Amino acid sequence: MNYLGLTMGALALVAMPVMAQETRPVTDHAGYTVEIPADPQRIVSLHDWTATVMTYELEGNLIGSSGRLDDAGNYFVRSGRELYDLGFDEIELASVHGELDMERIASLQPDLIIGNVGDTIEFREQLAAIAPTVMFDPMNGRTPLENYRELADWVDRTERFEELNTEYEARVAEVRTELFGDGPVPSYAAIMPNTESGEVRVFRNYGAQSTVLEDLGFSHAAIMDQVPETEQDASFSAEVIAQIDSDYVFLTHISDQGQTLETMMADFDQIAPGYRELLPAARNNRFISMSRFHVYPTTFAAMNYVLDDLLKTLK
Amino acid sequence: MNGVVVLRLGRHVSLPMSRRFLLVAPLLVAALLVSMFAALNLGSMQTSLADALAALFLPQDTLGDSARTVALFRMPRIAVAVLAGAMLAASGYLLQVVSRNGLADPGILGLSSGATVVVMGASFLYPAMPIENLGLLALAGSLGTALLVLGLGRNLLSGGGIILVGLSINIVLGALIEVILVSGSAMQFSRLVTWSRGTLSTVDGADLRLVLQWFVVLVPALILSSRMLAPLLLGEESARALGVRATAIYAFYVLLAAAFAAPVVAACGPVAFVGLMSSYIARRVVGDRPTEVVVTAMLSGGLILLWADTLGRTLFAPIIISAGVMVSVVGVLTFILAARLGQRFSSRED
Amino acid sequence: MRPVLLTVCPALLLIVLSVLHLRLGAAAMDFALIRDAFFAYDPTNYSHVIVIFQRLTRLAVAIYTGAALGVSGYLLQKIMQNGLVSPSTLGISAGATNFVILSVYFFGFAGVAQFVPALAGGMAAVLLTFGISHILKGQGDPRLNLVLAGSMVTTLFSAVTAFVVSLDADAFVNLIGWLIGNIGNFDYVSLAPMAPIGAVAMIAAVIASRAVDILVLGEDQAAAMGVNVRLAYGGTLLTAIVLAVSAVTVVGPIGFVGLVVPHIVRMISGEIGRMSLWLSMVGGAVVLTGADILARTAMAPRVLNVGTVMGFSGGMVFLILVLLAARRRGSVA
Repeated sequence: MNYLGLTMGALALVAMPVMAQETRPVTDHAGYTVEIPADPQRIVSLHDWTATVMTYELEGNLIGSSGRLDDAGNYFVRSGRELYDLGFDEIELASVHGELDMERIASLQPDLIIGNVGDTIEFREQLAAIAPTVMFDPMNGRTPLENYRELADWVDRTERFEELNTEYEARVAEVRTELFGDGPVPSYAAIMPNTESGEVRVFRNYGAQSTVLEDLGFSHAAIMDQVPETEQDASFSAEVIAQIDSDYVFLTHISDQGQTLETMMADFDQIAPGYRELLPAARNNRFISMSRFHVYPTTFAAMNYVLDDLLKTLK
Repeated sequence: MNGVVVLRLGRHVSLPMSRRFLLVAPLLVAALLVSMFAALNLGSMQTSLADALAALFLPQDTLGDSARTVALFRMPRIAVAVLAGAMLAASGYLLQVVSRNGLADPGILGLSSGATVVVMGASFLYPAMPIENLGLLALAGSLGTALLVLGLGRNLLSGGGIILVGLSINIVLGALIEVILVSGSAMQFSRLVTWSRGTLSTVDGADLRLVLQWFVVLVPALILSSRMLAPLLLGEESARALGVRATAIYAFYVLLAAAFAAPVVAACGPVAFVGLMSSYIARRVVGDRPTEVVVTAMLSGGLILLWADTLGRTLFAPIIISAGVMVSVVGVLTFILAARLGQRFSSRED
Repeated sequence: MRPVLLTVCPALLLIVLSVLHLRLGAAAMDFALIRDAFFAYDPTNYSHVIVIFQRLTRLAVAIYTGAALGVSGYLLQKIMQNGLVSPSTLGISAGATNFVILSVYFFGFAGVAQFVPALAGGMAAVLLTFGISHILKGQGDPRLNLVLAGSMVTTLFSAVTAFVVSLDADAFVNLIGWLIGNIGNFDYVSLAPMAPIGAVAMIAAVIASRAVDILVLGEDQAAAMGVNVRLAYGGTLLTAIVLAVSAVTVVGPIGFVGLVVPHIVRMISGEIGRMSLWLSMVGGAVVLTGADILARTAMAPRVLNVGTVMGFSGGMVFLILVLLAARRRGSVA
């Protein structure tokens, strides 16, 4: 019996599916058409609080991510830490945010790399030499769920996305009835103060927070339509604060830096003094702030967090 | 004593060279080769000597994973670092001779800023522009600035005056760069700022080709014309007295300096200080003969940028510090050290 | 007659510019509205709120920082007898900015506390600049060397700043404008603690002005006339640094006010006497107020950073000064 021959044959049979991975073309957010594996097994994401947590939530085959350095010298996944207890014990560190380490990424032997248009576009060619690379752009002005659905397609988890989406939509309907019954839903504006320049950033969309609000049926303040369609946000001089006359105003804060709703409102006092008497939302105590790292990523965990928060504060 | 040795190559060629240069230049070449090979083996991932050798000599498709890492990510980077460092050194030296000031540098005179404004603006508007076009745009920027500086400083071509013209143009261009910097998101701002200090992280084969093409054209031009530099060292009046067409030569060298700096800006952003430091060191070590100084400066420049990049990517892994930042920080310290040593060296001679 | 003119005219100019400043912005406002806002303030009229709490505070910041930078530059140029030095060309602004960024990143410093690292950074930068130019003694024009050394130091500090910012760009989103130098709607909480410091420094400058005048005549002569040279030099240098740093803490590294204003002052009233000091103060305020108006209207509705406008126009003016000086074929002062 030719055992050697048999073994070789068996090995060949096992090895073949891995070697002959199917690929298919997709167009990424930077406009490139890339041939990516139909069923990626080793995904590396280069943006922690969007692509990484999204892939992780969908139970995609995420093996590595870029990370950040905290004061204590440890590496963490922004929003991964807050929403999923995801850190570098579960996946590998691919690079430190700021500069990409090609060697480190290559050593992880990825078969799909998800980059971020904002800060990794210059590395695209080098990344493409390691593995098929797609560029994700969370700030392209499209709704976050649209972008998420596309990413789900790239990592071959569309089914899981639709499952989670259906659950989410059901929950939204529940919460809507609980909060507003059959009546009209109020209006909102999503903004952020910039005390250094004295401007107000107005968001066309802002991750999970605005997604949930829109899905609940909130209408938005007119000023949000002045943000260009291809942008996520725009800065306006604080003099436009009078135009933010919606029923509710939503903010986000960074708890690590000691920010709270009160500190954010104090920031507004600085850049637009007198707004507390002027704006209806301020007069009626309807300024609401949520933890930024929990609500920016458009993942279903984040959206559930927003829903929970709304139930607490709006009832 | 810095004696002069005359090398005779055959009957027709005799090259006078200083003894110091004959000692220093081969040392620098050796140091450069050793450093390049060392850099090939250093990185955030472990590779073996065999990998380095394989990457150097075998075709890419046949390489195993770690050798491929070396070939793809370290080789172009190392090559560009050495070439770019050398070109910046050449540019810096030429500018120092023309302005008769030891602190001149393509960055300070605004040539790099001119190239940067054009490249940054173009990249911001067309992120996918191919590198060859960026190179030409960079040249347009640096040449345009050089012409502007030359034109405005017509009466000031010798002496410190041209530095002032360059400084003010640098400032104005800096303001334009700032406008571009704040036009995007926070991350784009950060990336652009990092690029504007010089970084070798995005260097790949295409960048290497660009830099190499320009290097191969400009360096012979420089070496062949370096005889003309000697009279300039004496100052404008003396040069004229010797019958040399000083103004034309000055203009030529400023344009050459711009041409040396342009592809570097296109490939890795404007790295400051390299020109300044390497020329300073070169002059301290081998004296004043232009050809010798320029060659020594180029070798030193290559070494400096190579080590800045290599240390930046290995010292604090996985944190990577861009070469530009390393050069700025380490550069100042090196400069101070070299100046100190140089003082001691020359005082011992007297 | 001339002293009276010189005292009054610049002040008038400043007042005119100030009113203009209050008028312009996202919405132009007429004089009647502004007058009412001052004399018949109505807290429910939001336009009044804008004039008083948004534009007036900006104006106050522009006037203060312009004055501080103008005087700082004047003092530096006077004691170093070098027409090219200024808080930005010596690297003081870059050093102060860098230390503030480090303190924000590592220790979360905010507000007034930032003055301490800023001052440390400014002093470190000056020391480094002096050190480097000392190394180059004997090579080329020493005045030029000082400026070039300052340029090296600026590059050094801003490189470190760039690196720290790159580690967590999202955390510095609010600081981007400040990093480049900008006047925002800072309220007086930020300016208030700086103003007394600046006022003390200015008073110190006035008191010391006679001694510094003598110093300009030459060290030996000054010593012969009973002036403690070291104290006068060091004290004035420190005053200049404090003034510059107090401005940088509020608005970030805005350059060239300190470079350009002393030149203009020297053309009008020379370098000796308290009149020049006064003119530097008012002149600096005028320049910066004017720059702020330009920043907000030149590319409306887009708002430019004041630092950028100053860089652009300051650079141009510097260039003109250099070319004029070259034409005179005299020394570069």
